Amino acid sequence: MRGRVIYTVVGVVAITSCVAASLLYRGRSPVFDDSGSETQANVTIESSLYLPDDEREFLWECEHHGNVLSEYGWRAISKAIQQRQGDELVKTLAADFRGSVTEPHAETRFENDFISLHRSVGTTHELHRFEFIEWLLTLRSAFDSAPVVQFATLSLAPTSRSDLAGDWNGRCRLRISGRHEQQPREIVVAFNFTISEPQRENLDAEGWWSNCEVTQIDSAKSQDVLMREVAAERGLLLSTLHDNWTTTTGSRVVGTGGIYLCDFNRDGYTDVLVTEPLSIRSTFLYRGLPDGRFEDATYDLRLPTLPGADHALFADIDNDGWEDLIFLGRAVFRNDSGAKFQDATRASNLTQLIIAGEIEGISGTVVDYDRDGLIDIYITRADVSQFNQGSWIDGKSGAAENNQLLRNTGNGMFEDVTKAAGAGGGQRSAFTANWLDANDDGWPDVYVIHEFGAGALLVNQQDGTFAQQQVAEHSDDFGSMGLASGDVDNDGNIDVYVSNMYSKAGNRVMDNLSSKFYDTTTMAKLRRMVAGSQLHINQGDCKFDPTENRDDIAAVGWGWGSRLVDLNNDGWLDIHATCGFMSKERAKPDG
Amino acid sequence: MAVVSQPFDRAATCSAPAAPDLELGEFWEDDPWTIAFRHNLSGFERNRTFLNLGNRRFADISYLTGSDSDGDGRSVVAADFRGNGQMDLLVRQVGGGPLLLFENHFPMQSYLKVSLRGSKSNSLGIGARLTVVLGDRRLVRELYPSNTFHSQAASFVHFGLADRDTVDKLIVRWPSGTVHELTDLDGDRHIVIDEAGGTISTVQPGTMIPTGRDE
Repeated sequence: MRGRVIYTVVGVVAITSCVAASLLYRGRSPVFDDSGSETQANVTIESSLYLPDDEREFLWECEHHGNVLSEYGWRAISKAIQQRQGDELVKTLAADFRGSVTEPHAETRFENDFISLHRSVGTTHELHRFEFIEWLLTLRSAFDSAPVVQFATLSLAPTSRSDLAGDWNGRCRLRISGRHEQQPREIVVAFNFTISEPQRENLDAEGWWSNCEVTQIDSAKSQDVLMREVAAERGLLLSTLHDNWTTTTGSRVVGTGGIYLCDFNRDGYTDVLVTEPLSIRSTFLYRGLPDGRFEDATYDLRLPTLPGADHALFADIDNDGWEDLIFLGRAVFRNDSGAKFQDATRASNLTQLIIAGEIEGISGTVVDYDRDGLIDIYITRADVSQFNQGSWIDGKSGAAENNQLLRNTGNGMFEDVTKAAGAGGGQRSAFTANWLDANDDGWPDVYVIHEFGAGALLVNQQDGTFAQQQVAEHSDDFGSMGLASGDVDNDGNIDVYVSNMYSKAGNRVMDNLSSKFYDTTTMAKLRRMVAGSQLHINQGDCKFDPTENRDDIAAVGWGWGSRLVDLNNDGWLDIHATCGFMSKERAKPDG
Repeated sequence: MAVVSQPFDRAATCSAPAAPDLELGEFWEDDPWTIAFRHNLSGFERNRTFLNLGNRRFADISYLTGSDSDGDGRSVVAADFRGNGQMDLLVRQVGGGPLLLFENHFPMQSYLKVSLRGSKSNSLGIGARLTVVLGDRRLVRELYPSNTFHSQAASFVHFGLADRDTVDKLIVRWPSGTVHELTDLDGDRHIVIDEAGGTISTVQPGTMIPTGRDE
């Protein structure tokens, strides 16, 4: 069962591949591997959709030059800035170098006694070679000991497509982070640049950087680090949990088990269930204690180790006030007044109903969608049966009855009302779904994300059925892994934040891809594949505005789970977003 | 040679346009699924924290929080584990440290935590919509212990109250349709509201919160 899920997630690799890499490949005639050959009959390929050889080669040349620039250009400059080696910077900059920078501290974005965030944008003044070096070293002087200095190339191309040996232009982000008198500081500089052709010989020689136009500077500092990692100190040391970076077996996996919160003993301290399907013992239920400490209560509560247990859900299915524990498609445990969990798998038909869905349920959420006072359950599935077929552009995947709405009929029994309620939520792979009252009518609606395409909002019709609509006409989410909801602008409407895939490489390739090969719609879809997370602002009455896609929150990375949470208690929901797919070796090219 | 999926055909295969520079670590994989297992694929990306500046603007404060792990993050939950009204983060990663608990050390501001005890509604009031009125500010939150990805939130609602230590009004719209309006509440505490009667009690952490059912 688990293998299927892993492969689903791996499937998304192809999204990055298709934009960040596969556009680089020739594709005059598709060749199918053995496993796919039987299923290709109904796949029609427009040969004109394939890129010509010279376009693929051009895209690859741009990527390759970017790798060279990172290794032999930016790396040396990073070190020179970090070590305050002005003479090294002099070598890099051309004698007739022209720079322009924004005025410092133009806008205060946020300021209190503890935190200050400033942004400079727009107004510029010109700097010559030595002035610019002095300016760079001034940035550095905001830090005590050696800060981390990183350059990220956001775009790169020759000035003329036909002349790789001429000048190249691009956009870049320079990030300097470190401490000043123990206080964390960060400076992020966005700039456009012109350089000689980024080849090793040129970068090893002097004067290859001829122009730099700084377009934005963000500076951030606080009196102290705002959060501190204390898992081990608080008793959450789980050496049995799998870690790709330290595993001794050498086997890397894509997914983890989950982290599920509850207050199973109703003592006001939040408790945590951690699952680890790769371990012989897969269940770890931690009781929350005063001062943020935890103790392992799994055995006290007689919760079995359940090898392979993965996706879980706390839900008070018998409505006695004590949260019961469900392992999707595996087992049901009744919470006996917070003292123990009793196996109630056979007393409930829930497990059978979820197993009947054939594919492993990957997420479970609780709701009382019909408002009868009993907790119902919604299950989503990541179906990979169509995984290697069809088009990424169309994004189709998943079975007809992918997700399930399970209505609580009392006494631990449920009925599958998916079909009757129209709650399938699209025939697509869905990692999760969120319940929210999107139109403020008092009836729960649900937003279902789709792994390979825009999500669907199921609007509760107040009669046990749902009407499906897209969250916006062109929401264009793609590679959606996670979903959080909350009223981020405090206008009384619940907004949704969708964690998508952002890829620097994918965006570079799209910037360089000539628009003459694909139609406008296809180009837009390709761009969306790598454009990153989106915040859909609810305008009320189920109308969402997808245009609030600020650069700041989109370019997270390969996004997964996220939370909208008020971290500074100011009444505004902040965002914490996890990201990253698979890390192998630092400072090496990324897929 | 190289096999990679196409935008229009996931199973198509074709050859690479040039030889990779192995010294640089460039690569072509003949099977795209193996990229992630042999090379970086969205590797060493930092988990991010965005401060809501109001007016739909956000600022990246990841570095200042120290919660910007560059491990391969997967899921996150937020809760007030210490019972001091500040929301901490628990993060799960597949690489770079499997479980990270980030305690919140932002400057302290006022808060109100609300749990619900349903009678006509479900026992924990899941699906309730809560509105806090602070002068001319209205904060709307819904009680859904959401999943977001491989996780589940806890079944309480947290309001940051900024510099206000009292709440002018708290409106609870229960799943049953019952509406309670409670006025002039002290903040900086965890309260439980009863659907039957609309009464409030303060949670004493470590002491059992009665279910309201026949025990």
